[in-house]
Amino acid sequence: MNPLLTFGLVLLVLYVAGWLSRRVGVSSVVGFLLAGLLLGPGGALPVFTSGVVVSLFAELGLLLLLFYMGLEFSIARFVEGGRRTAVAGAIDLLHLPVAFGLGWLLGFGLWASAFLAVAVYISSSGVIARLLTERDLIAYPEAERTLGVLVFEDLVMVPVLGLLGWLVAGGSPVALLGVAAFLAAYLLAVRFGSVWLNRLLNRDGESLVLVGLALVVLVSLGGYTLGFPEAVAAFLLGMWVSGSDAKAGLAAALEPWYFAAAAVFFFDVGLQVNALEALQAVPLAALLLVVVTATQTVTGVLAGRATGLSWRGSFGHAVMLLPRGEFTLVVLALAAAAPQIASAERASLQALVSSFVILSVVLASVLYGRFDAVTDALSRPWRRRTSSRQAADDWAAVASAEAGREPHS
Amino acid sequence: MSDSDAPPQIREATLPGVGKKYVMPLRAGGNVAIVVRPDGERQLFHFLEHEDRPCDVLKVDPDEAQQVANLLGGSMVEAPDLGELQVALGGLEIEWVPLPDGSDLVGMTLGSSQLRKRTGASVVAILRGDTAVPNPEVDTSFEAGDTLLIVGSEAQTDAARATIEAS
Repeated sequence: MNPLLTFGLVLLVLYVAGWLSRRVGVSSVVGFLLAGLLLGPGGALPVFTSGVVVSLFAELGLLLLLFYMGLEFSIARFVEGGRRTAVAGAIDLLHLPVAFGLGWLLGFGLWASAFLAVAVYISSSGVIARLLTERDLIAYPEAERTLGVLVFEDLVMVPVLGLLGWLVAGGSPVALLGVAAFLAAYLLAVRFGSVWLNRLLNRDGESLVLVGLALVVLVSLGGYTLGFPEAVAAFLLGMWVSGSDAKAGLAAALEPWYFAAAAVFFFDVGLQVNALEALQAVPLAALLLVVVTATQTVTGVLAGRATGLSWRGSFGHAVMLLPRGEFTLVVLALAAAAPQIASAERASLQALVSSFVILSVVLASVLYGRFDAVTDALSRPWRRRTSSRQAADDWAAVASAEAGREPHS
Repeated sequence: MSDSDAPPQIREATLPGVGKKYVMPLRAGGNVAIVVRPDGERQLFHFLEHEDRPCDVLKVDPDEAQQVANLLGGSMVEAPDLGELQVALGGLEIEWVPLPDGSDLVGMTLGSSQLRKRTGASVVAILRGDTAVPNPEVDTSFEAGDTLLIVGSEAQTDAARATIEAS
């Protein structure tokens, strides 16, 4: 097929897939992924293959996803969350060993299990922020904790992806030298180059789009050349830009590219997966989802209770953190590029994680839709064990404890 | 509870990727939480006493939020009316006056318009598209679409506005 025709048709298909997902009430990520599954080489309607144009846009989409993740991230917000965010985020780390163990038990190798653990660990900021807003849950005390944990997860992703990238590249000391060189250059740039960055990005219209895209792509590639994972390089660049005056302008200028390229990225993830294998992986993905949900319930409730939420709020925190989406697929894409994972293992990992993401987003939509009933039912047995007096004072305790940590009051 | 003479305490929290949340305990019991999104939409949540789940949600767009703020407290900020932005500077007023379509002043120079002689107000700058002409000379001429930045007493700027708008 003519590459341009392929591109046009892919965009059209993605538009329809996104529209259908919104009609059904799930994240459009699921629609893009399913479209890739169904229309890919292993799908029911094998129309598309991952050709030059689709791969190019998919790679750009991966970089822009991480760049925008970095753009939204800020150390200041993390610090503002304080001890509560740190405690809740640390408890949430329990997902890593549990998912790694499950992957190992399912017969995956060391590398595949490690990528599976990271993929399953990271919740979907996009899906969660949208559901919290749409379902009017944003003012619940546990929503604040949930959004804080998402920032914590982003922070964990940087060293974890960096480490995995380095190990996958052979883990040699020479490679470490390149990684260190990139990090040193980055830190120097952040320390001394911010004036230069502001001047570079202080433009508008086509100049800003061209300079911005070139910056994202070339900085990421520069990292890649030095053996530094390009996705993490894009994230770090986003973090740097987020502190500059140009942040809002650049974010707005690149948004159309981000929307289109990220959609193609999710589609391309679907193209890589054999639809039949994904279908066969559904029972296994359901098992994985059960384990993740159980782990999330334990960690969420522990984190909630340890940081002053009521029983109901703690179960609410667990439910809120459940959706896995775009970043899980990002980790899957990085796993697919790892030479240590044999092709048969890669195929089953891709099938498992794709099915898992779809199931998790659907389950989350259902749970968020009945949020009050679900959290009431889950927390009722526990609330009986506490005296009614204590339960009634939970909010007051939260309010006073949180007021107490305000540095200005 | 707290001393009712103390001003209400407001707790501020950033909701990453969503906006800002402000929580204020109410003296009558319960809390009100206000979530401000980057696009200006505000959501107000009412929590009853001893409840950590809101009993009611109110969503307002930026215009409605401004009206609600006006109704709730007369002393709160009024929406700036950019069409007639006035700045009081010790009796001096600064006004922005756009030239009307088909104005007689178009093509005239600042000197020949005799604006200061007729009204007492001075033209201190001309805003032209995205650029500005600061301190225009007497031989600077007006162009269609110009906005004049004029300074003077209230009577002078009013007279100048009337003159320009009638031109």
